[in-house]
This record gives sequence, C-alpha cells and structure tokens, in this order.
Amino acid sequence: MSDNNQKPDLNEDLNVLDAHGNLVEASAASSRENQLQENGMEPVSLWIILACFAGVLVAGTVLGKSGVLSANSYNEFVVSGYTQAERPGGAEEVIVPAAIIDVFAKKGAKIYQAKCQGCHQPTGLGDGANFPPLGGSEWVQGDTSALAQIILNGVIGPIKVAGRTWNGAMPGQAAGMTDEDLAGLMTYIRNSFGNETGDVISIEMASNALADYKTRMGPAPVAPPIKVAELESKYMVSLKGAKLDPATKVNPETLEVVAE
Amino acid sequence: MDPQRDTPLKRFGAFWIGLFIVVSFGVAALFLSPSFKADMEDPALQSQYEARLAIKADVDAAQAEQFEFKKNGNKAQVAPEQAFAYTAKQLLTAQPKKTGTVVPGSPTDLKNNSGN
Amino acid sequence: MSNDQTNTLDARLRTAIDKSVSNPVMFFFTTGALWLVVSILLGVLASLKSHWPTFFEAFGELSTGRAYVAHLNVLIYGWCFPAAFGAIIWFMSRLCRKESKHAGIIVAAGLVWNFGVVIGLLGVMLGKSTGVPWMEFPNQCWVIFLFAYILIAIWSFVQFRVREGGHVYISQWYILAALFLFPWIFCSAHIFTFVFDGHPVMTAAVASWFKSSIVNLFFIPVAAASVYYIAPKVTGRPVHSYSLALLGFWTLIILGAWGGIQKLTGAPLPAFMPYVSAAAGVLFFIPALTIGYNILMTTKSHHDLAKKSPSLRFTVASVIALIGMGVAGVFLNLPSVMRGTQFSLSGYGYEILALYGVFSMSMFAAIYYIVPRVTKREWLAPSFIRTHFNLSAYGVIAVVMGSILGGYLQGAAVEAIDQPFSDAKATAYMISIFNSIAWVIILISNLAFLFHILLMAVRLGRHSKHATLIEEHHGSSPHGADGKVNNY
Repeated sequence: MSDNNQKPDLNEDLNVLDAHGNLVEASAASSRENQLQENGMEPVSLWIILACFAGVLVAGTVLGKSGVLSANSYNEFVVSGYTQAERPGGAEEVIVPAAIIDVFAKKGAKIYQAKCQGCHQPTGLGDGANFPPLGGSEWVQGDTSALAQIILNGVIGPIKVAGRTWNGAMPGQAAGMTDEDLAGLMTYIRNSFGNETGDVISIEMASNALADYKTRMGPAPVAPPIKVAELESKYMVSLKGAKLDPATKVNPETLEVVAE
Repeated sequence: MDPQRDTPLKRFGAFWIGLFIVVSFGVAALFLSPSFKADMEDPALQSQYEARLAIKADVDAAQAEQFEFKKNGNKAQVAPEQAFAYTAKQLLTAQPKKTGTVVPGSPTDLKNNSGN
Repeated sequence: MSNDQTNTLDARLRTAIDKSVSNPVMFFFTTGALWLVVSILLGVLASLKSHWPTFFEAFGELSTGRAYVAHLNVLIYGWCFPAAFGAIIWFMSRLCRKESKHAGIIVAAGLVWNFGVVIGLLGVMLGKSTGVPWMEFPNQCWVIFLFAYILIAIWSFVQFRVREGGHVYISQWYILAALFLFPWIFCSAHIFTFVFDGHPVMTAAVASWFKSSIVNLFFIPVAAASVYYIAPKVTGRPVHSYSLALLGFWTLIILGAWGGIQKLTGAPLPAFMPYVSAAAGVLFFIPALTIGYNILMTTKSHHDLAKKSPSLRFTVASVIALIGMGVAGVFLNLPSVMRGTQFSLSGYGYEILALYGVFSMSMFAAIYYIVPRVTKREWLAPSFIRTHFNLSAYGVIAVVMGSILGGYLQGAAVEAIDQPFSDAKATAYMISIFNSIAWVIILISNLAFLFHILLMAVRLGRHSKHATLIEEHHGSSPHGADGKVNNY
C-alpha cells in the first residue's frame, strides 16, 4: 500500500499494477464470485445422440415432402375436392324466365330514370310548359320508327303533342345507347304512363333504328335534332323486324328467348 | 496479465479488422446484387407492362384533370376544396326559390283541386 | 503469490472491469427495461384490440395494426438488442479480463440507438411503417441502428483480440459469433429489401429469412453466452460436457441461417426454399437440446441454488424454454401441421417464446447477476424478484402455449372447409382474450422489474456483503442455513 504522502508517479519502485489495483477496492460481489472452471469432459450421452438423430429423421421427412426441387408443391397445400359451400337457406340460384314485355319494360324503366325523367318527369306527363307528356302522346303510341328517331336524334321546332303545340328543344339520346337499351326504353314508354300499346320492340327492330340513325348521322360525330317535317316525310313507318309475342319467356339476364 | 498481447497497435489493428469484416458484408451484398435483379427484361411480358403502364398513365391524367382549374363558358371548374367554401357561402345567403311544386294539403292545393 | 492474494487481485481486477463498464451496461439495461415496459403495454393494447376493436379507437395512431407492429418492433429494438449489448459488453470484458476504455463512446452510441427507437416508434404510430415484418421502423432507422451497433460492438471484438492468452470460453465463442453475424444479417436483409431493386417475391423471402436468422444467430447465441457464463459461475462447477458445447455451437451457427422461409410456403418461390427452411426449423432441435442438456446437467445437483439465486433461476427457466422452443420447432415445421398454422397465431407464439421465453429470461438472469457487480449494491427486494420471475414465467407460458396450441386449433378450424368460418373466428377470439390476460400478467411482472432496476440505477440498492436471494421465508438467517457466507 503506498503512503498517502508519497506521490505515486515519483516513486520508482512502485508496482503500477499493484497501485492500480489499490485504487479500486474489491467489491463484495466480486470477491465472493466463483472462478469459471475448465470445462468438463463428460462424453456426449447416448440419449442425446439418439434424440438428435430422431430430430434429423424428422427433418429428413420434411425435406422429403418437397419432391422434385423446383416443382410446384401447390397440390400439397390445396384441399382437394374443395367446392364452395351452399349458401344457407337457398338452393342454387335458378334463373326464372319472365315474359319479354316485363323484362324489357324493367330495363327501359332504368334508362328512363337515367335519361328522360329529368325533363319528362317521373310521371311521364312532362312539366306542362316546356316538355311534352309521353302518356297519351300520339308520337309514342304511333309509328315506332318515328319514335326511335325522336329518341335518338332529339327534336327541334314546333311539334304537336296531345292537342298542344310544343316549341322546345330535345337533345338526342343516342350516346351510349345500345340495341337492348333502345328496345327496352321504347317498350317501357309505349306501355307506361297510361299508354297501352301492348307490344314489344324487339332488339332487331332497335338495331334497325340505330342503323337508320347512323345513316342520318353521316360523317358527323352526332346527328342534328330532327324536325317534324322530316319525321313526317321519312319515318312514319313501323320498324322492320319480326314481331314478338309479348308473353314470350326470356332469360332476364341474357335477354335470350327460353325455349318452353 | 500478459502485457505483450495488449499493445495499442494490436488494438488499432483489431478495430480495423473488425470494421473491415463488417463492411465486407456490404461489399459482398453489392457483388451479389446483379444476380438478385428481377428478370424484368422478358420480352413476352414487356407489351403487357407497357399496356398496363399506359392505362395507369391515362387514369392518372384523367384524375389529375378533374382537379385542375378550367373555365367552361361562364362556369369554372375548381378543385373541390376551393368550391366547398364558396358553395357553402352561396347556400347560406341564398333565398328559397319559388318552384311549381304544390304541397299536398296546402291552401293552394285545395284551391286547385276544388277548382277541378 | 498465495491463493488469497491471487483471489484478491482477481477480485480487484473484476471490480475494476465492472467499474469501467458500469455506465454503458447500466444505461443499456435501464433503458432496455423502460422500453420493455413500453412494448408490453403496446402488446396488451394490440392484444385487446384484436378482440375488442373499439377499445381506445379514438386514438388512431394506435390502431390494431400499428399497435401490434409497434409492440413487436419496440420489444426487439428497444429491449432485446440493448439488453444483448449490455450483456455482451460485460461478458466480453470479464472473460477477456480487460477493462473497457471506450465507455463514453458506447454510451453515446447507445443514446443514438435509443433515439433511433424513438423515431421508429413515432414513425410507426404516424403510419410510416415499412410493412416488412420486424423491419417496420422507417427507413432511416436501420442506418442509425447499424452505425450505433458498430460503435457499441467493435470494442468487444478489440477486447477479444487483446485478451489474456489461453482459454477461449464457451460464452466467448457465442458472443464473437453473434457480434459478426448481426451486421451480416441486418445489412443483408435491409439492403436487399430497401436498397436493391429486387424481385418483390424474393424481397419477401429475404424479410422472412431475417426474422428467423436474427433469432437463431443473434438472440439465441447471446442467450447461450449468458447461460454458459452464469450456470458454471454461480454453481462453481465446470460446464458438463465440452464436446456437447462444441456440437451445440456449430450446429446452431450452421443451421441458423437456413430458416425462416417456411412462412412463405405456397408462395411463388422455388419449392425447395420453404422446405429447406422447415427442415432447418426442425433441426434447430439439436442445438436447443444440447445447450439445454449441458446447462441442466451442470446445475443438476444444485436445485437448492437454482431456487435461491435469481440469476440461476432465470437461467434454468431460459434453458427449459430453449428446449421447449426446439420441440415447438419440430412440431410447427411438420408440413401436416404447417398447413393449418401457417396463417395463425402459432407463429406469434413461437416468436414470443424465442424473444421472451428464451432470450429475455436469460437476459434477466444476466441482469440480476451483473447489476449488483456494476453498481456495487445488492438488489433491494426479493419479493420484487419473485414477482418478476413467477409472473413472467406464468405469463409467457400462457402466451406461448395459448398461441401455439390455439393457433393450431384455429388453423384446424380454418382447414375444415365444411364448417363455417365463424368457428375459426371463435377459436381465435378465445385465444386473443387469453393472450390479453397473459400479457397483462407479464406487464405487472416487468413493472416490478423496471421499478427495481431504476432503484438500483440510482444506487439505492442495499449495501451488503451478501447477495439478495429469493428463498422462501423459512426464518433462516441471511447467512444461509448453516451460517455459511453465501457465494452467490
């Protein structure tokens, strides 16, 4: 132990390690520690070796399941024979064929709601000032070709409907109109709002109407609205096409005729 | 203690050896990276990639256009957040308009009906 | 020199070493304990939200996804790594018999690491997590972690190179391996996921490899280092079998890097990858069994010590959990079981077994051994230590058994395609509630631990020559049953 009066670094025969050790009092915890001993040389127990081999065997079976190294092992993990469970309380969905006039009218109702209701009102009676009524209109109940061209082209100029002259401007509705849409719309308005023509515009008739429209359109991107004079000169005929019995059963989804 | 093992040089060397070992992993990763690249140059799939990217670009452009300021006659298209405040103010200061709607059971309605 | 003088010099050297590393070690252990409590709180929240989604729903920053992610990542980066660093620094210093001359740098790097964890946690809570399992902290964090790690860990390698000649202890093998395996795994996983523009499916494979490798090649080696130090030291007996230790070490290092990809079975990966990983997962049984057997045989005749000494108790618990982890690995990696448990809670149970059951218990053992030496005070309250041990053990057994077995049931219910899916949901629901209760129990135990270690950190521990033991009250004297001074 160095003397407190002596400065350690001036004393030549001082053991630096000892002095360093002297600065640090051994803590109680360190003093009572055991030394780490040399490792034991017990032989590896046979049971351990056997257990390890069992583990290796299991690992081998796991590897064995992989089959050919790059093959798709998807089949291992897909449950075979998986089919979707039936929905509770229902059998398979069966398609119920319905009468063509109802199917078309339903389709037409949707299109009427989207395109026509804003002006001609949900009642189909117009607003009394600018937009003529469809119920009781001779144009709706009359020749189908004229009606189709009115719908597709729009009307401009004075037109006489239900005893009044209307002088408005109707925009054409041909944009995005398919054969089925037109057939449905015309069937709907001819059989609603008090109209009872009781007939069906078939898809064939509607496609003929669209062809006429395209001819009238010519090279322009859209056809101008039609005037009454033109309607009366060219279009006061029925659309060409096989007449369909309104009670024919069709598949409501595909609109195909279902054989009885 | 064996002081000969513990020299500052040895410590210095050990530091840099350790650092080198750690950095060598990053270098090895750099060398391995080309083999890790996705096989994006498959010509059979290239047309599909391009078609998809074209569609995505179209959709993005159309959507971005909706947010642009555009004038359309005496109307203007602005981004929604600019329109909300303006529209809200308009609604607050607007007066109710006379429409042709007749409330069932109101005096007007009764007058109309009694006239029929 | 006489034996007494050697002993005194040894004790003085040990004390000097302890003093030199006291700041970094206590810093890591204390902040680690704090983060542990935070992560368990988040774990309780995540568990609650999985069966009670409207709990605390106004706080969108901790919705279910974010709370779970935050829980796991804070557990790993906030508690597991710092505890490992503290243990590595102390074990390496003591085993190489060298003082640490770089305590200041280590503490600074540790502060940077903690800063990274804070950024990471905030990033996850604000929705900026990367979405890659166990790498969910935002991108800046892993760079911070890497640099901080280098500044923390390189000194231990330097100490090893300049160590006193002769023996290389078993713990040193494991620590050295962990020191270099960590940057390799961490770098590779993050660089190949976030830096290189690789094929996304391979990136998923790299991410799942990372999860398994960081456990097998960092946490398990550090846990092994701890148990291979504490068991012989506390009992005073040599390690049971050197050859078994050698076998365990090399099988762990060789097999550890092959695992992880079995999580992606059925993904559009080459089919050999998940199966090789599953086989490696089964083979993990070998190092787990050998390490466990070695340590248990070392402590075989010292059952009373294992009951009394906190560090030995935690060591034995950790080693039993390691054997359990090996068995669970065999069970969960069988293809017939994996088809059900692949997307169930079993994976979470296995991770918690590894992180808490094996690793954290061994770190608690190390902490209960190291802190008195580093602070020169003894632990204050045996009741806290008892609470910590008992509640942790019960809690982790509950979480792990509940999750693994419950996950198996859940998977079986999902696989039963002729039963409605709501059956599987009901099973999972029950397991979640069970898990929540278990996590609350673990939370209580770690609150006791945090309180205890905070008291020690501010040097409020007992001044005593005798260790704090957790023996049941027999009314015996503190000097032991027959009056001998305790050696533990």
